[in-house]
Amino acid sequence: MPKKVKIDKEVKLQAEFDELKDLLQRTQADFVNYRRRNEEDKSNFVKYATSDIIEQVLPVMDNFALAAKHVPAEIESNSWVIGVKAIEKQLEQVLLANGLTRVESEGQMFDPNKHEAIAEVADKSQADGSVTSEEASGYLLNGKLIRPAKVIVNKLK
Amino acid sequence: MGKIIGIDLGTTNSAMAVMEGAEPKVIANAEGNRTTPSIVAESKGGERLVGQIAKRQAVINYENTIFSAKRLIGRSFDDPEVKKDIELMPYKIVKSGAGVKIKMGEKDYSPAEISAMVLGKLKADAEAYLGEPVTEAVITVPAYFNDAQRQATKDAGKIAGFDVKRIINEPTAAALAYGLDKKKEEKVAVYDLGGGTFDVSILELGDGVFEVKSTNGDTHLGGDDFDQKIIDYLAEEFKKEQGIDLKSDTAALQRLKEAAENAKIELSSKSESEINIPFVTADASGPKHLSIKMNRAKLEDIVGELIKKTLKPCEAALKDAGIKKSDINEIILVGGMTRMPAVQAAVKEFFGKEPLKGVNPDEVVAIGAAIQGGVLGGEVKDVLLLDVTPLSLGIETLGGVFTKLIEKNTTIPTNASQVFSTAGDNQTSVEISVLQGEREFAADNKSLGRFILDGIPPAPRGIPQVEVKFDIDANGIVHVTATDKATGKEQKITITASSGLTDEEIEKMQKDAEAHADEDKKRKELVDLKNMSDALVYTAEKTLKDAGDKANADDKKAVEDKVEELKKLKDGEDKEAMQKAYDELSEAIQKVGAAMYSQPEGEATAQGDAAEEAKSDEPVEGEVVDEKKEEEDKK
Repeated sequence: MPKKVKIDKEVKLQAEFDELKDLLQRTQADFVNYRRRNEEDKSNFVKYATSDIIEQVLPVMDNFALAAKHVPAEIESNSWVIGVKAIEKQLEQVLLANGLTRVESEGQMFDPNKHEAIAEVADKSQADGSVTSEEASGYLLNGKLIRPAKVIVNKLK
Repeated sequence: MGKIIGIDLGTTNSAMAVMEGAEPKVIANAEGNRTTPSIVAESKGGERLVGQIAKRQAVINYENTIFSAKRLIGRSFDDPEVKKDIELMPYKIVKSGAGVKIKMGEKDYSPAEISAMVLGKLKADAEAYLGEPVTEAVITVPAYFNDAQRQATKDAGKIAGFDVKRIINEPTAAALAYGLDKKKEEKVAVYDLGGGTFDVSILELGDGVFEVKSTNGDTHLGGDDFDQKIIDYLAEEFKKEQGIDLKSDTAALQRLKEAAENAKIELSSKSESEINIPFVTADASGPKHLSIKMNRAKLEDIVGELIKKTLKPCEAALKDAGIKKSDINEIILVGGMTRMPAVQAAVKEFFGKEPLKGVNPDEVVAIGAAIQGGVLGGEVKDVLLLDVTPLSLGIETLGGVFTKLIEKNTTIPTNASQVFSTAGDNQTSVEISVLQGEREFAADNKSLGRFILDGIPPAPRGIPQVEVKFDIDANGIVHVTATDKATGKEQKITITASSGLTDEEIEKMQKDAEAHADEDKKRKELVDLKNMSDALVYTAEKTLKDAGDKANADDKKAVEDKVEELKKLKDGEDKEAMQKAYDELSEAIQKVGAAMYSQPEGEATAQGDAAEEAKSDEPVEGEVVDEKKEEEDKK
């Protein structure tokens, strides 16, 4: 009788031991993985930490581009206008220095990896599926797309 | 066995999460986003696109861009919802056997196959993120889904390569995310206002199981409708001011959409927002700009109707469940739209209770699914639920200061150790006074016990090394050991969890620490300075003694004077004067030290050697022997 009890106890303890060992290993593995991911996140953070602010500045860049587009012809050579354009250039340079580059769109084939279609046109003189015009520029930060270019695409029937 | 991930397969957007240790973590997709649009498309070239990338070409490829497949999954062709969608959707829906199929490119796909494509992307992204294969998942569905819809969702998972461990209800997942399953009996209302649909569910928890008592909602009411109202308002205002209809201008409409969404989000945290769209359009007279101020009240006015629309289904759901408003224990908010203060206020007013909103409403369902996955995978066990030590633990050191060894809120089991030394010459024993609390001074904290370690070989102050180690096991029992590194002699004390502070006392202690933080800080700075002054006086006197004749008389006098001055001040309270005297003595003694080094070689050797020797076995002034070295009171 006592022997059976002892074996049962052993079996029970062994089961518990196995369970705990498994749990320990899993927890250790989780920890190792977490640490690895943490390191990755950290280095990504350093790379992309500025991306939030830069993303918020992009609409400002957009509006500058629009402003330049709409300069009334009669004041194009006005020195004040030229001065404001210089400010736009300055802003662009600051962003460039921080890893920002513009996505190419006009004349390119539409590519959803970097373009977002907001409308279509049917222009026989242009290639089917090409970008006819850009409404807002797209940008890459350190090679990663942070905003697709908003474009109008040519679609021939 | 790998991890079982939780997936919220939404109508407009999907999200996924996984348990990491005992915490759920949302998994970002390959683009770095925490939600993925539930959109699939086939480009003209036959390329399949899933997620954000599919969304980007929707406008120019609407016939082959499939969204909201969830509205069709598991439904028959004659289902009224299907009929509605056939009218609304730009893609083609056809009858197929008992169900429907969707045309994309040249082929027809079942809604399950379409959803499988979304799930497939999630699977691939999860594997990339976790760095291991992911083959098991828990997928959520609306509580009102029937068997056919649930089975179809399971099929979608299977097609994507998942072994679907369980299909759980979205409101139940939300309740799990808030840990409500830990309670005994609960009546929970889940208010889910997403991008395109509104769902309200009444759940009842009993014996650890959630039962869905009733569901109701509006399948065509969501955040998109709120955005539309704002767009309409802005376009109207602009038309009034400038006489131009922006809605007919694609580019302008696009900017309006973005501006409307931004304004909506901003007004959730600010009471006023200025919507600025320069060069929004142009006419013969030149470029036009939109500049409209909107305050929260106006926004609530514009969308008020929509919010009201959500309350009727809430009434109906309660009625069907046979539960009164007042009997609801908790209300959970799900869906991005519930971030709007007006929505939260409406929910609070309706139920007469503050809703739960601590978990990100866009992610709460995925998180709940992950928790379920964790339970099924055996990861979330009681054994894994770890405690933290609520208050810092440490000992008393020179000057009555409380030196922490274990910071509060450290997860246990844990251990920490630090090397301390003696405060006086020939001190042969140290008293370890173990304390718990947050105050800077030992006397203000709670004493847990004290013991003495003796037999320390006589030595100048600061020389002996006594290692004090704190070890807390999983049950919260504290073991404190003091070991003399020279002799190996050790003494210890064991403190059981109950000998500390009660919950109320802990809270009071934390509040006190905050209240006295400034005062404590000043006192501590003073005591630190006193201790440093003591040490400096000691070192200065020793240096002079050791220098003997080598120090020139003037320098020596200067040091002696400064020592006297500091001696007088160090027991007082004038911190500024003490700091000044300290700095001056420090300078003076350095002069002596420097002078000693610049002695001509031959002359200096004999005495120099003696001085070097004497110098080498004591801590040099300004040098830190052990980074964390501190001194203890002799009792």
